[in-house]
Amino acid sequence: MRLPAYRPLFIVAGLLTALTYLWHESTSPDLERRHHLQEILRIIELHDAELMRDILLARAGLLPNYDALSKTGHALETISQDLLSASQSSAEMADTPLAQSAQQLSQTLQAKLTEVEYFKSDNALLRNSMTYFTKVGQNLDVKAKLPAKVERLWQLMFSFLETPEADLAQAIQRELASLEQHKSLPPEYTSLIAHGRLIVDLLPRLDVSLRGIIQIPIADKLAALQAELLQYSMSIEKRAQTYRLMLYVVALCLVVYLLYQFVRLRLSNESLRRAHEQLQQESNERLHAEIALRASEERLRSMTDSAHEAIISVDSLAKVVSWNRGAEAMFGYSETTMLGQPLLLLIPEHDAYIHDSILTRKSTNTDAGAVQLQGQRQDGKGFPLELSLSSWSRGNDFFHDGNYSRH
Amino acid sequence: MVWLCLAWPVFALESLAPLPLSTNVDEAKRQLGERLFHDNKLSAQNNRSCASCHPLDHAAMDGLPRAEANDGTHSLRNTPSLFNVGFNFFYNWDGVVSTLEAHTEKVMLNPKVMNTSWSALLASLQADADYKKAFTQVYPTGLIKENIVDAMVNFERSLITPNSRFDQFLRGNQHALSDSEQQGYRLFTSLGCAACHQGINIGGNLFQKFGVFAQPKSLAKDPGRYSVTNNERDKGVYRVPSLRNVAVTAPYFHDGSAATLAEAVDTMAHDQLGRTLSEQERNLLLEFLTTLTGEYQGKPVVGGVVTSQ
Ligand code: HEC
Ligand code: HEC
Repeated sequence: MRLPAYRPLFIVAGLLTALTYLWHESTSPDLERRHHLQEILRIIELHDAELMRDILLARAGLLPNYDALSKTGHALETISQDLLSASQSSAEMADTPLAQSAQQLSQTLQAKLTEVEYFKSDNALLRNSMTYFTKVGQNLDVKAKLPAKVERLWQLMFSFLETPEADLAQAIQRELASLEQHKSLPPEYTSLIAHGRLIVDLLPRLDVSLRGIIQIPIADKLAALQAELLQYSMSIEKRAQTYRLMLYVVALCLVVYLLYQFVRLRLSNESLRRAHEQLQQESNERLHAEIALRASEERLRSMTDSAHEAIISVDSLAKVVSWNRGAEAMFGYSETTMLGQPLLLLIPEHDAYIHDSILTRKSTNTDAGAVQLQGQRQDGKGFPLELSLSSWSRGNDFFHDGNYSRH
Repeated sequence: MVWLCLAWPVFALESLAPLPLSTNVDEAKRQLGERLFHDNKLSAQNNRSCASCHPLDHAAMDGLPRAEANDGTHSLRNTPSLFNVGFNFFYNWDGVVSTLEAHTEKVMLNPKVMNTSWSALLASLQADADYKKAFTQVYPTGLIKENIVDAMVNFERSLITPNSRFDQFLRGNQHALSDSEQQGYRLFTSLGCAACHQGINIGGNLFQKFGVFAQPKSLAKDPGRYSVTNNERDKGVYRVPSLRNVAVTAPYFHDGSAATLAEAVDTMAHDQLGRTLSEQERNLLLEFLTTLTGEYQGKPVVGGVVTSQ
């Protein structure tokens, strides 16, 4: 089985994949978009304040023209479109309470801008009529024979401009109606009556409209959206936080696993080293033994070479493996002819003995003193000999030394 | 000792403002837009360009009471001059859109005007190697819908007519206007014309009912802004038009019902201000209104009916 060897690899690869995934999930999502939204909200807040300022200035007659107000309205319209698209642009944000809040704010803004447009129209008309009324009042035409009561109209009108109350409005309407009855009214008075009626009609309406605009809860909606944005940010940050925690845990696991593998490697390295040392020692010992053996063989050889007796070694198959000079003198064979030859050649009559003592080693008393045998020389002459057998083993080979002596 | 405080504002709020002398429009885009503006390829039948109805040598309007629709019948409104269009805050007589980009797209697809479709227009412009090259030079994204609109809008924003005598006067040159013209200006404000026609464009930033004090004679049943808002109070309400170059952009009103400026001024005074003008008042107003004619690319704006298309 190869798998166990690859297992750590799989585990590390798995942990790394998990790390990558968690890292990806733990980055704060939508950060740029959230900042963009934040920026949009800031701009809306600013423009809305600007719009309110200009509206109040316009109501007070202190706005030179409607360009600035229109420009701000325009900017708000554009930014409210941006808000809509920004809150819907990401899959995560769409359909969240955040997107709904953004939509509400955008709708409220649109509604406000529509109201502001009507306010502008009414305010322009009203200011014009008020100016006209005041101007005619300033040069009250004394030439025209007007009822003395006409001055009351201006008093009423000024009170009405201060506090547009219903009973004042009715009083003005009555004055205007009686003025209209006047015969040979100069033309500017016809206009005056028309403008007066317009003021009485428009002023309460304008103030209702203004109050309506002020009450349009842009600030509330902005705050709600801010809160939603915060909530949303927190929820996704929390999620990212969880992933960050998991990231840490997995990283820790990876480190611990790697440490474990390292320690294991160290340990097996140690035992390997020890096994190696042991092996080395064994082989050294073997080498020593070999050297010692070699030396003892050498010694034996020099010893046997010098002996007057025939010393012959045979292997387990009773073939001659060493042959000394004594043996040469006794049997007539040279060492070279004899090496590898069967022992039977030297003692042809003792097949049974060879069989029992050497090949099968039935007789256990191998070193049990000498036996009397009939030998045969190279020239065919037989002679009695005395054989003493000793055995030693080296590895799996079994050696017999025959020690032959002539009688 | 008693200090007397004046209750009237000591500063006069100037409700009119001069046009800037130049615009900061990108020149390459402007040129591209100008070319498109004059190209018949923009209409489905290849028979008209924007300039057919907004010829720049005729005060950027056609001089007709009402523009000719694509089907050959008079069914559109009076063509407004495109000069200083960038200073308006709402477009068309009913203020249906509030950006030039939206307007450009609308006019291209309007079956009564250009009657084209983006796919057809893009295909016909793509076929022109010159356009393709020009667009890729000016826009990194090349020849696409947004860039066509952008080029045209840039051109439209460049259509300014600064340096009218009135603007010179506003900039401090007291001699730019004659005495009677200055009287006309004072009348314009004191009568209340400037209550509606104000701002840098002397209009273009406000909606008002056409017929505040009396019902104007209207040739066609036009719901006005009601068609945009569906609000009852918007019936007969229109955008207050810019009065810049008004002396050369006859005929007047959304339906072209006033052939002359005198007629238009009379109608305004009567229907919008509840006044009947004296001969002298009207003449002073007319004199003042002629000082609003500016210069396009250094040449005074001239109007008149476009005879050949
Ligand atoms: C058939 C003649 C005709 C053609 C062609 C034409 N226009 Fe107009 N244009 C008009 C009319 C009429 C109006 C007023 C429409 C309304 O108020 O309903 C108008 C209004 C406009 C306005 C609004 C001006 C304002 O101050 O409100 C712009 C901008 C404009 N056109 C641009 C263009 C462009 C760009 C083209 C070419 C793509 C074009 N027009 C082609 C007739 C035309
Ligand atoms: C209550 C607001 C208001 C007042 C005040 C007013 N106007 Fe107008 N004016 C308008 C509106 C709205 C229109 C567009 C009418 C239409 O739909 O055709 C207009 C159109 C015009 C036109 C036609 C412009 C064109 O290109 O067709 C002229 C000229 C004009 N006004 C001059 C005057 C003069 C001069 C006065 C003062 C005597 C004046 N106006 C006062 C609202 C006003």
